[in-house]
Amino acid sequence: MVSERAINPFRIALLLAYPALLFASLPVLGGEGRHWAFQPLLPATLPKVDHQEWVQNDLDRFTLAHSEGESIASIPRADRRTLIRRAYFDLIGLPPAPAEIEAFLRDQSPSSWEKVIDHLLASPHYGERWGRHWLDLARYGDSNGGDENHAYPFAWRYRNWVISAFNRDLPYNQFVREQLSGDLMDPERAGSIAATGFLAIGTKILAEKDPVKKRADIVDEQIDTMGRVFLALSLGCARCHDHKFDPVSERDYYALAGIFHSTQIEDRELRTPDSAAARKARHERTEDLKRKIELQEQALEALRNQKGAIEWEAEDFARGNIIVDRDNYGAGIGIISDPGAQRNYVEYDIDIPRQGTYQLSLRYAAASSRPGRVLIDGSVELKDAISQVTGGWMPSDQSWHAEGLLLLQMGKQILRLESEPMMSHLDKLKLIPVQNPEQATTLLKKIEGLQTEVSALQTGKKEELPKVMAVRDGKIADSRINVRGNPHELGDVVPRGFLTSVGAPRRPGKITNQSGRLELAEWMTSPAHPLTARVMVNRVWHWLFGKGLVSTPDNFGTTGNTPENQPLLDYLTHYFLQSGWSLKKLHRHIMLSNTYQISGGQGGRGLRRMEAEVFRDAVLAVSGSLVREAPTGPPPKVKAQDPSPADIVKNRKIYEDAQHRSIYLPVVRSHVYDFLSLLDFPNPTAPTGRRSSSTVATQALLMLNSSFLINQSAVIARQIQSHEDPLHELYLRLFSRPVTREERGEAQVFLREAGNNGPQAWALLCHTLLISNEFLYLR
Amino acid sequence: MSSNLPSPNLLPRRNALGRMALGFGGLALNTLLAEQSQGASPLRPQALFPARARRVIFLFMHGGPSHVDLFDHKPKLEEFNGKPLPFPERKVQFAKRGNLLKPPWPLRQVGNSGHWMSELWQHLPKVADELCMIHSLCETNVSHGGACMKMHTGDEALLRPSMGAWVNYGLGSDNNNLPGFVTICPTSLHGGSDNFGPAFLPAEFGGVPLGTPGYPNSPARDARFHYMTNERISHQKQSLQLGLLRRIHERQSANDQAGALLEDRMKSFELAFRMQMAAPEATDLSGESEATRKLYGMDDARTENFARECIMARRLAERGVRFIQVSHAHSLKFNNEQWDQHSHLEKGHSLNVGQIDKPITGLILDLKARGLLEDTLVLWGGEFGRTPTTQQGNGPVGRDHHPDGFTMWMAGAGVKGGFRYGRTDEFGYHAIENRCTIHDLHATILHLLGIDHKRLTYRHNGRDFRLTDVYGEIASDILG
Repeated sequence: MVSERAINPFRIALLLAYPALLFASLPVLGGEGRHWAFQPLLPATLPKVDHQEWVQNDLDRFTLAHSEGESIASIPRADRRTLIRRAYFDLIGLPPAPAEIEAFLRDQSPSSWEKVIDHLLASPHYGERWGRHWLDLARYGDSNGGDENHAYPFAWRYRNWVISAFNRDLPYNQFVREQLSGDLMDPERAGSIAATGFLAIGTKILAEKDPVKKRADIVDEQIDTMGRVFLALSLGCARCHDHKFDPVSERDYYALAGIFHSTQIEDRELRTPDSAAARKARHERTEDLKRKIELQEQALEALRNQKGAIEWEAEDFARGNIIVDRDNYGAGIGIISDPGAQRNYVEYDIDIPRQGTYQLSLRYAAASSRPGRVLIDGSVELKDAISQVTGGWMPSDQSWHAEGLLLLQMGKQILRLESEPMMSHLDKLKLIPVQNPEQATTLLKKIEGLQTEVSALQTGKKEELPKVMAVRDGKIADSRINVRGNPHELGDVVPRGFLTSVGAPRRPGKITNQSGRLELAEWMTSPAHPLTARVMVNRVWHWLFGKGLVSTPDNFGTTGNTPENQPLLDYLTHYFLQSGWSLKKLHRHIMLSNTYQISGGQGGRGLRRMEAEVFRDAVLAVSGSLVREAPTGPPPKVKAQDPSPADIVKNRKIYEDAQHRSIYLPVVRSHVYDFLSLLDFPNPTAPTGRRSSSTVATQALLMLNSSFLINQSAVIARQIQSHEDPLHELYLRLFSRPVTREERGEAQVFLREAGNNGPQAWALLCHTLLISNEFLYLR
Repeated sequence: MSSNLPSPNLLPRRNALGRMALGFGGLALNTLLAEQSQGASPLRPQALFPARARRVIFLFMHGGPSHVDLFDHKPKLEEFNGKPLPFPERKVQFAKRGNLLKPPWPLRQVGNSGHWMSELWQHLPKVADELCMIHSLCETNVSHGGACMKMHTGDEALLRPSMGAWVNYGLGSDNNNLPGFVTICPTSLHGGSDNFGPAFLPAEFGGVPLGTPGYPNSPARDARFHYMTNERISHQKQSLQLGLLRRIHERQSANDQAGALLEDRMKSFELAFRMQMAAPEATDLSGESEATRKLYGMDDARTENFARECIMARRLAERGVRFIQVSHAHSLKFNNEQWDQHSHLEKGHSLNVGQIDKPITGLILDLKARGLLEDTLVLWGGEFGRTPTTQQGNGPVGRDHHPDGFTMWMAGAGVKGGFRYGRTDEFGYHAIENRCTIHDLHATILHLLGIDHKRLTYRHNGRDFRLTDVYGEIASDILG
């Protein structure tokens, strides 16, 4: 029997305190015939049950009462090998090592099970397992997806924040609040800003040419994600009309839209003492280099004849395949640049009044180096031109750069610039006559060297300042209704606010000079309404049992399914609220129940297939290849934007060679690592609270032919040979149990037939067991 | 087959079909080895009404072919060449536009039908009377990404199943050794794999790429199904492996309640084993006759690549694959990409037409000769057309993206050959007669396949989703 002394005082508190809270909220939430999910929690009255001996904690009373004739009481507890395997995979997503199983089997104390749970909840791998569940909901991706699949180089800091939040057991209400408004709650705390990555990492249709629609689409994605994740409601429907099934009006939608239109997405710098110092040092060094360049420039100036200089605008070209932009880089500033990746060229018909040596200077802006060439009448005169990094793309980043000396004949000729695949933002060109070319060349070389140093500092700027994808308040304004969802057909202004018929009562006049996210977060986590907590409790149940008490975890609306056992769901929700929204306490409570511990079979626990990442991690774990420490820094760099077939092969190699846990692999939207997607890794464009578990031939092909599995099988085969009884070791590692006599005989026959007991035969045996149901399905 | 899928509303037979789609699990492996991949299919679509088409080949012209230069004849462009468009342009534009531009090549009427075709088309006129021109496509997005996603999934921004996945879901495959939806050499751009993905439909209905999706897309010569071969061990060893796997699973199933689920998994392995034999056979062109190779242009370096893709499409069609997409999306080295001629219209379109003209003509002729055109719907087109005006700028002239009126054509099953449907205005700008939105196009394709687009639904997050959302009118005039 497991003791639950710690829980008992709570029960008393719960029974005393909650009715008051329930009644307080009734006037708002009650009402005849309202959908169950919007009604207050059922009172946590413990049902009377006959099979007292089956009750490990109060949760079991609800299960028994729900079970026809308490028949569940006849299902035995799972054996200890099954139990420890179940707990390990459920809490940390990794298999127990043979020694850990042995220790559990040996420990006969009444608290042995509790000890396992506490040990796992304290493991850093708990956050990796449960953080990944959350990332499904947060539609986490390291690239934009959609039409323009740009990389999201800072998304991983949100991912790490999620992992850490689970490991710290950040109370769920706080966890929700930080994701909606961390930047406003505590602007000084880096973690809180990183949390708002939740609002920033969605897919955006970046090439949308209608800026008004683009903005409305981004806001819609934020609202719909928030609704689905926290409230299990599809709010997106109300963009065009009152929700057909749920009490969400068009006005409610635009009240929320005002909040998100008043919020802007941006990459924000996290200021740490280190980053501030590095920034200062870089600034000083840059200034120093610029002074040195200035000195050289002065010396060079003495050799130049500025009166004879020819200067012209970059956009006054004769021929070219580049684009001219006169609008986006400041009034009166016209620049030329590439229209997209291509072999860019631009040609100028120049007329040189006098033969001589000229210095070519170009004025341009570049955030990253986009080198090119200079040609005169078709022959390359200057290589590695236009290559400096000036710090950005904007007019303020424009600066003159001496590219080199050209010996020019008198008369007409063609000056051509080439650059591929991209081109810096070129503003002006200048040719300046120069005396004493040798001396000028020396000076130019010096200047170029110094400029390259400046460039390197500018390039390094990005790495040294940690950035996160985040939000901040922007221009604060209420939104107008978009008639039938058309952002160009505007109706009434709706004051910023929340849902009026779902959730906590609305306190009027709260939203003032800020976007309203802070108030939204308070409203979302108010204990005066049951939805947010109920939805999360059900998700936890779903992730532990493979099926939620409400079997549509992302839909608590009227089109979703009703709870199978609402008294149990509501009891657990009370428990969750009462224990300070602690997820670890909730896990512990559920796992200490008999309900969690029963065996499979008729009426018992169903089979659950490992999720894609769990499978990959488990394979790496049993082969001993898994690097268990969390990686530092960003995920390995894979090509997200427009990958070529060769890039995709390279990307796949990066994934196949990686040895960290799968949560640390980059998630490239539209090109999810196919090993994972074939095992139903969710499409990261939309929140997913319930993964599918498909069994299709393409998945079987992966199982048979994946080089990752083939390689790992060979590693396992090699490792077990050092054990006295390799087959015994193999079965312990893979299945957490010893090999049976029958299996031993079968394996020996197979090893002979498949290759005379040789290493290849062993590898094939390991491979076969890895892809067998017993490894892949959890009981 | 997963057991936790919500059941679709339309087709109650799905469960049975889904189980069968896993293959002949009951047959012993050695029998499987001996069997030909092209057995009689147990799957017969029970469409809601008699289908005109049994399968679709979608020839996708990535980038946006210029309708006014290729098929939509507008004499006013000659007359007003170099003059401004006499009415305001649409509000949202991709790039800045210049004045009206006449086609660089004359258009002439071909076939008995009198379809207008640019002189660039040297071969296509041979099958002109098979083609049903739809000149009034409209209402899509002005950017490639939005328009590609709209064309493929019906939505320009949200994640939705691809039309091929919908068709596959609705009708299943005619060959349970091959996927029901294959996309040949797809691009990784502009929605990438989401353009052929299942989104929220069960995974088995998504498109299986033949060739790694990429940009530029894989050469047809390298097109393979991924994970289809095991280079380390022989078939014989693999069948030993499967034998062991089956013995292990049988022992487990005997003492396990979830036997059916596990049995399904074993069936999926056996189907995989069969696919490993069927798939390479389907894509191996070595058995194609000299005459066929010539017909498609495999003997000419310029057309060889797309010819291969078109022959593969025909082979997959013959073998019962339900929806086959062939993407012409090869990047052009000298300037702009695919059919996206913002500049270099003349050079780009000449090259593009040159690469596909003979292969697609060959495909239609070949399908016809083999009696496949009767029940195969061939669809040709890009994500949008190109502006009748130039794109403002520099260098050799080109045209901008144009989503307000453009041309696609159909051929084969159930459509009127030689027919013209819809019309753009006299400058080829707005579709003004029988406007055909992308939803209308989808509704019509499903109709041809015998599916009521309003009843092909899938419940997801509490809502019944359709390929056509809440829209879609069937272009009944084109039905033969």
